[in-house]
Amino acid sequence: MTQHSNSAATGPKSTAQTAPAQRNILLFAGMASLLVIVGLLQSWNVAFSILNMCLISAIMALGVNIQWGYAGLFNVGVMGFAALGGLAGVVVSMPPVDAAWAAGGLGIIMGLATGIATLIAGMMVWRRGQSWGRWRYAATAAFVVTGYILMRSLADPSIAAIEAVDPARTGYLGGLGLPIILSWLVGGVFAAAAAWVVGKVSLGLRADYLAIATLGISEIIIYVLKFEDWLSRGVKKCKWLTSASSL
Amino acid sequence: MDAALNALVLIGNYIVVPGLAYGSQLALGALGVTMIYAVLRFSNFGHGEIMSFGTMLVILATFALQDIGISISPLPTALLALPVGILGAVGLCLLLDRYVYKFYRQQRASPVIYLIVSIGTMFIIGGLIRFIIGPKDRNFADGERFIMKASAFKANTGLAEGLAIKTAQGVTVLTTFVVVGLVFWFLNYTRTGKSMRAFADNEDLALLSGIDPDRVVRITWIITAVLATIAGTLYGLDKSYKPLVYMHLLLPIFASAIVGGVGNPLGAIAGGFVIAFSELAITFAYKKVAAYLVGDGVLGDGLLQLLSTDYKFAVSFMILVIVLLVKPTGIFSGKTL
Repeated sequence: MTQHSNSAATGPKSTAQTAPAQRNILLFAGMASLLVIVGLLQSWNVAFSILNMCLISAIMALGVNIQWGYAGLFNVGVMGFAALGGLAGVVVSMPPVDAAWAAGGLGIIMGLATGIATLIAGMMVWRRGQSWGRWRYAATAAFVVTGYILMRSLADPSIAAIEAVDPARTGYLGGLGLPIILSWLVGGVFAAAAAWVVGKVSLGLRADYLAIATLGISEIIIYVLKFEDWLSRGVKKCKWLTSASSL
Repeated sequence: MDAALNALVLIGNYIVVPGLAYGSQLALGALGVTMIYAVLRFSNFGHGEIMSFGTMLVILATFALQDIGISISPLPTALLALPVGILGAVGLCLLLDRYVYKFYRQQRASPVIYLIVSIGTMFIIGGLIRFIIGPKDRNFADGERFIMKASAFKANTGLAEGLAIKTAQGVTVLTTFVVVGLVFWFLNYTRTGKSMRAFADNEDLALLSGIDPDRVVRITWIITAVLATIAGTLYGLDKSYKPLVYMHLLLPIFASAIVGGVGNPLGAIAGGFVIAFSELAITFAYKKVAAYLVGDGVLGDGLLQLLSTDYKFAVSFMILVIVLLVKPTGIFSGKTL
């Protein structure tokens, strides 16, 4: 991409412009013939799953390319955002698990509300305390830890109750049972929220700090999705996702 | 009184002793990362795999030594095999520098390019390691297993809780102490060390005063390789060797370096201990401690655990994020190598 725009900007000769185009066509043709060979020699299932993976990777690479090329931000945490998209699919399209909502829905909502309130309170204390010196750290930490303990004590029994509901098949809250196409929108909103946090943390840092920070944050996201079974079923499959949700 | 002592021993056994050992390992790793950063000015993602590579050579040499029946019991044989690993890792680093990093240095590439190059070297070394030794778990700790067994501690003190110190933990802390002392002596009191600090402080001025940049870079890689091999071997002795683990170790190591202030050796060491102790203290279940201090079940029947152990590695990322938010220059800011 950059090569093209560069050569276009500097007013190139016609040969310089056609050569990359021809090369690209050749490369794409080569890739296509490789896929065809896989299809003929191995199986078309494998060929299509490879093609599928290629397209998904291409979309993610396009995202990185735009972010890095236009904004100059090197984001290593793309997989965290991709994982959020997957979460959106679960949260939007899986059928809700009524028994789980009855068992612990209220506790979870109260826990989440406490968590958000804690974050806001912590930020307010941090802003107010500019002149407190060392007490600023202590006061903020005290607020956040107290809020966190309160949140855990509210949510923990509910989480246990939810994960006990038929753990082999559900054991989570389920989604909203809406068409999967909505999950793209929701996933975008999730990713935007995460991106806001990432930006808040790491913009203005040096480029390689940004890389480490984005990597860390995306790892945190993946850890949360892996281990918070009540939300995403953790590492277990949501196998009705394809059949239960129709466009 | 006994109850308080028991609680103290419990914390000592599950947080202080493992934290000291793990913290030392992280500190050695972070010291290497921070020195590369100070002199070559990039974050070396290949560091975990360099650790793993050195450890792999140590393990192979240990097995060879065990085969011909040489041991330094009660200490682990791996300490005897350490020079082999160090030599190999130094060779690897110098080769990488000569054939990979030098090219980008001459081009004066931006730090991000270096970073991606180092990710590339990470994958290459990782593949090489799995090709040579395979992805399996390997236990190469031999000699005496414990300096102090929990049962012996219980018998001697009459307390209900035991305090166990593994040989690997003792060796780790002692070795780290010696190695860090040597590194600081080198940086502060030798001509070469001073020239390295000068180069890190101001490259152009250092070049003007006649410091040979290639030599400084070479010595930095050598020290990094030595530190990485020692850190990796100690970690492997303590927790058994598995190639993939070292890749996961990379982020806690970066977190240690950044928490302490990148480019600052003292900060790297402090950062290592901060990360190690927070990981352990945040994921430790305080149920039994509370039972000793305030009575069983007074604080409810939960585990009294701030975060489940699933999130052990995530703790270091969270600290990293908090530090980047609150104090991006790290705890020991201001000073550079």
